[in-house]
Amino acid sequence: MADKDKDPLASWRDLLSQWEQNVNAIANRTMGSDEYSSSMNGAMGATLKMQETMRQFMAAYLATANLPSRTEVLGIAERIGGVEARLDRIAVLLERIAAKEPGQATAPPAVSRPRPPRTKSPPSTEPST
Amino acid sequence: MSATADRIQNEVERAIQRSIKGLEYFSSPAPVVGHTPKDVVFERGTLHLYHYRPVADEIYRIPILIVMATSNRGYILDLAPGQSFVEYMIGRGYDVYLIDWSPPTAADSELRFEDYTLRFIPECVQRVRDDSGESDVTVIGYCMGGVLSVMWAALHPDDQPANLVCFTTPIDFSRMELFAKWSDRRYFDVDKLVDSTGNVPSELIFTGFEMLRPATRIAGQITLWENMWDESFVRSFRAFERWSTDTLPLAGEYFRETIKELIWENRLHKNELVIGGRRADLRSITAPLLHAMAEHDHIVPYAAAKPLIDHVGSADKEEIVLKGGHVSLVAGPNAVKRLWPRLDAWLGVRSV
Repeated sequence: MADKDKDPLASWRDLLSQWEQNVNAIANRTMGSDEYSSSMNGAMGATLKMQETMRQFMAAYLATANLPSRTEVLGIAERIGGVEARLDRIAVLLERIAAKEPGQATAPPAVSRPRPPRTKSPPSTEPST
Repeated sequence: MSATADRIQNEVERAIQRSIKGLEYFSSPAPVVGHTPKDVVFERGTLHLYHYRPVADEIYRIPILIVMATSNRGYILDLAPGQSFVEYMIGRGYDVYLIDWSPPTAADSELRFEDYTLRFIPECVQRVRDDSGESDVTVIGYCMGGVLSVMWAALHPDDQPANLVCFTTPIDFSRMELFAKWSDRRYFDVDKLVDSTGNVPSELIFTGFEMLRPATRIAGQITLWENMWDESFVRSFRAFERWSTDTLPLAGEYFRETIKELIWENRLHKNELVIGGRRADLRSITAPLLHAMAEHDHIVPYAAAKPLIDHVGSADKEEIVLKGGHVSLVAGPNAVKRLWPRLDAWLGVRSV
């Protein structure tokens, strides 16, 4: 308490904290109203409409300029992603087949690195030395 | 008199340091996060499964799989040396795996709850089993990662985790009052949003979180300036700042289901949620459960998270409510002294 009294910025910090709490409380009350929810979602709807119009305009422009649109580039990326995903699934199947072969109890670890033994006990049950 | 003079001198020095370090702040690159060494075990589209390299001489038998929230990056759990949950856990002798998410692509916009709970998490659990050689796995879920973990456990009564740990996991979505209000079905056209955007933009998710505490960002910037002389404060602040603005977009169908099934119909809380033709009945969860919640959580209020412990069928279950907020519960100095030691004490005896 004595330290706080000597700290010239202590009052300022308290004031800041109170301001933050008050503004958050007032804002939460305002934002928790039906009117706010209605107007916020109205604004979002208008933004979505504007974005859609822009997207259509840009698609028409890029087609005129003989350039691929973002959707088309993303389509190619998706197909590459699909090939990678299929390769992943094949790799999983191969690992499982390998694990079933004699002498392999489980699939090999993804990264072969020396692992510590799984023998740890919680501190209270560890024998005292 | 002398003490007052010292105090004034101290403040003058801090003011000078603020000016010098303030310039450094604006000219220096973003802080390095996620420093703990790890290996990629498995990746599929938006999903990345990492294994953190053990550092202890011996480790607990049962490995841990952490499921990160879908809206944020996993490096909040590995923020900086001394403030990393992962670093703490591997230091305490746990074998830690983490499911992290990257931004969903257009192809991922069709992902639904069933992809996360009947495909992604089971696949990762199997990967952890294969990689560790242990059939038992502890699952820890944070926020929506906790919701997905709970759904997964409820859908797999015959394949329960060794332990289930949830950090600030909402169950009764009607008690997330502002989110419920903003997504009021009378005004919020989720179909129009998802149909026109595909994936829900990260800016929308970020704004949603920010609007819950509109003054906090301004107050935070003022506090930063006041503490600009203190390098450790600035380092920590920047790491948190980087993480909080690094919000992820959400897969469109997943978002649509979240709004309709969880927020509008509150089906998880009512035990009526059906995923892939199967009912996610929370009473089917029988694994030992720990649910950690924060006293001042403005994103997932206590009332929204509390019902989990009552709903599950586990005989061994415990909830803890700790000081802190939604993020400071799991990361930063508050978590170092509160949540992490409590979790270690609870989990250690259940990990052998």
